[in-house]
Amino acid sequence: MSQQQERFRRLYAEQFDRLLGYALRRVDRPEDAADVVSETFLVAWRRLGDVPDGDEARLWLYGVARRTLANHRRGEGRRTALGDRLRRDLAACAPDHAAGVTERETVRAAMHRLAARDREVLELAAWEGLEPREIAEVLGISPIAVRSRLSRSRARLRALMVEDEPACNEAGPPGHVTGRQPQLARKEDR
Amino acid sequence: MTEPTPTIHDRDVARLPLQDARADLLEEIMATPVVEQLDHRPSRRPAPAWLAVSAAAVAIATIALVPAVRSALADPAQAPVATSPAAPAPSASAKPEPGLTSVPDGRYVALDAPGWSLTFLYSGEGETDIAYSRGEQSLEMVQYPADAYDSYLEDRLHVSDPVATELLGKPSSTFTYSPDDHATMRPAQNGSFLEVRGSGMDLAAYHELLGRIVQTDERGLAASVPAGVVTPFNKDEAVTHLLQDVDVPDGFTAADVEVTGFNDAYQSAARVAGSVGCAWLDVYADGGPAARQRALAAFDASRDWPLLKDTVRRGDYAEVFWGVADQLRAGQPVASVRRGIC
Repeated sequence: MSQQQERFRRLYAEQFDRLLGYALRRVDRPEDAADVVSETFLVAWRRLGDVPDGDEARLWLYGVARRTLANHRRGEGRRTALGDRLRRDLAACAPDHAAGVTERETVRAAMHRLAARDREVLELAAWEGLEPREIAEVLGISPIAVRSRLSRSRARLRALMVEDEPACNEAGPPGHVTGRQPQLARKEDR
Repeated sequence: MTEPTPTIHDRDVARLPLQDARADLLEEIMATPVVEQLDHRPSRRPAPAWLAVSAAAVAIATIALVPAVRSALADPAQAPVATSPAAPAPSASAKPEPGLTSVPDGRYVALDAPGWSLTFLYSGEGETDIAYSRGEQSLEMVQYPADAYDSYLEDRLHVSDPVATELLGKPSSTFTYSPDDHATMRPAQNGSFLEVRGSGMDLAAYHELLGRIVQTDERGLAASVPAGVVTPFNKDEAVTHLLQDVDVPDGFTAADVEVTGFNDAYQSAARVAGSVGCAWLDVYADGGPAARQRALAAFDASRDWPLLKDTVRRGDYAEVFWGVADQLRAGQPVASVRRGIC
């Protein structure tokens, strides 16, 4: 096996779950995640020389995946002949979103009301656990711009969630506190 | 509940019974010839412009005070521009000045409406982002690169049906996020397209506010922003002012700081501090033990730099910067530290 092949196998083994998770969290149908993963790893295979080493590889793959995802959303995705089995298996075994949702409905509703670019930095921070400098790598913008967007999008999300909170007289079951304003963790404060 | 949580975690993904499918895909990909060149690579930011400091020549220098400059610029800490949600409400003194002139083909936009104050201004990465507020109401205007128009339009079409709206004399599309939250996209002009978003007001009030948006040029925008904003016209004095009492490596001058376009006090301070910090990281990376010690001393002393102290209540940049010395002492790679502050 050549060094290139060995390196790609290692990259694939290390990053497959994370990349598939990234895709599954952003598509409506699990089988679409198979297309995103196939296309992204195909790009990585063809441009292996451009893929950085170590954990930076994950950011590089996210960067490719977000473009692939954007193409799919625009209906321009080049559905490759690759990954048929992954597509089938994901359709059969991936949990549907309704069952997998663990966040509060108010958060989801508020997230969907954010502008796409604001939503994206929040998702990269909260879903992928990326720091601002890593988000900057994925998006190809400066960490300063990321922090600005994070700061403002978190504030906006807070405001939207307060708007979406049910009024006191619409409170849920006993013991469920609905009137408390959520406090967002500030990862970059650490 | 704090941050939004994912619909499926990576640990759940790892448990999916996909071993065979995963192995199949790997083999399929590796059987693909490497002939096609695809332009999917995420963009890379350019390397810092200020790179050359001789380690042997390094010495701490302090930019001389220029008293006249302080009077020329308002104290950034008092300026109404801000970036963080924790920032105080902008003061009424921040309203656009009467110098705002309409330039039909101008590349900038500004709001000329009584009672509205500038709260955010940033330009860079091909975007200009300017925001105003009045009480709980806000209006944000972002100019994106023209080639991003189609993808943004596609995204907004998922928000609501578009409603034809005229914005700055051009047919545009308004989308409704909620009864008091609307956005309008104006097709590209001069290499960028404009998206306006107004929150905290109904559609009628939003439309009225759209009519108060003025297209202007560099000079017009500069005349309309409050003191404390760094513009192409006051950049040199502003940077010199921000560098007061900041330890810089030998040979570093205000000319080494890259601040382009328009930036509010927070953004400007971050860019200036970032340029100095990057220069010190170069010293640290390229120098011997003595140079490293000087760089560490500078990062330690940064807790007293006025430009960083002034930004603390507005955002997180200063906190990140102040963590650099600890990161370096802990052995974190310089390249990794650099991405955090440059």
